[in-house]
Amino acid sequence: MQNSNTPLIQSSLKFHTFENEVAVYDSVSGKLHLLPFLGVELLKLMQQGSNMCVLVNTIFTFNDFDNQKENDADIEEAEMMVKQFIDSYRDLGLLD
Amino acid sequence: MCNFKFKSGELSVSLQTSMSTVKQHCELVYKHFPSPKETDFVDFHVSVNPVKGYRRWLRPQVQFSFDGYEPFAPLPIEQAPAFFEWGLNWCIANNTNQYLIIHAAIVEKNGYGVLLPGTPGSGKSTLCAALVCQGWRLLSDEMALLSITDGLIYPAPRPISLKNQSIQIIKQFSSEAVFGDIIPDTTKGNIAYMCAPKVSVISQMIPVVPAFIVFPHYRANSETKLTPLAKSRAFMTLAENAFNFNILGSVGFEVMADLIDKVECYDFSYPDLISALNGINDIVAKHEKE
Repeated sequence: MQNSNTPLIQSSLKFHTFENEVAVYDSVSGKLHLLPFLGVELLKLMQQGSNMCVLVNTIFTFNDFDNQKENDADIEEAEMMVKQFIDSYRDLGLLD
Repeated sequence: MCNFKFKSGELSVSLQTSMSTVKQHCELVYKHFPSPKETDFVDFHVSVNPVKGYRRWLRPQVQFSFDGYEPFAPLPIEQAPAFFEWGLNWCIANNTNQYLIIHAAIVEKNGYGVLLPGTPGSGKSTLCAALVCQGWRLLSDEMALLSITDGLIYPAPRPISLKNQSIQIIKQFSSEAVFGDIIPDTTKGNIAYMCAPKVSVISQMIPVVPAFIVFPHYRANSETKLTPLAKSRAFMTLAENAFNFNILGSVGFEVMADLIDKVECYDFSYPDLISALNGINDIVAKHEKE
């Protein structure tokens, strides 16, 4: 994924981090979500314009899969996970 | 026409009514409440009066109005005192956005504020009434007013609304509890209002630091069980129980987050009133020892 294609997260979002989860509030829609910590880290990276490689690496770091990330199948799986996050966040209205 | 004025915490109320039942209700349950000074700003000008026209003879009804606006359909005239209390709840819930308003009872002991958010049937008001009979300070049995400027909870004590079996349970629990007349056949069943203790009214200008949020669940024939609740879950549940969370927007989100960060949160199941009282008292006692 190129920087130019990175989805933009809504500027109206507010975050509050709990132990393993993050409360995300959209002050425009008034919707409140409780999201996994990893998912919100990905959101914030997207906000900074990070590309797919950074997002995938983040998943490996979180899951402590550093030793597996040379494996094509694992990379593919992580890419799929990022895409699923993007789709579900778009459905929630968190992404443009 | 009677004009009855009182102060509940920082909120001032002026009630106009021609109904003797409403007047007697207020004279009993607001007996200890101070009146605002002549120069004080009155937050809520409300009236409770019979509906005029043929209804007066056929099926008499009562109407509640706030600043001349009638937000509800009329109710049977026997329910006039309850209509006043419900109407005033509505006024506070919709017009005091200097607070994040959480649907919860709030009581205090030894400086520890305990929030008891509860869905209908959870036993929130019964538990609150019993704690108050035991000497806990009543801040509110219905709405916790969390200041958006200092994060403290401000009292707005009012009579405690009890329903059906709870009325008898509290009457048996405390012979000192003072009740208004039972109002039968409302949409909530039979209800009666228990007076707020004088000591709670005297200290009604003193805010409290919230220390615990306890979600009570009355479950007959169950065991008493106090379970720590993840703060993230408590946050989501409390947000659902806040009347003006979305009106306050980002401010409401931040105030709620600050609250959750500084309190301990519990789920609390109990089979009877005595177990519930012991459980809540234990939470504070344990904290005081630590």
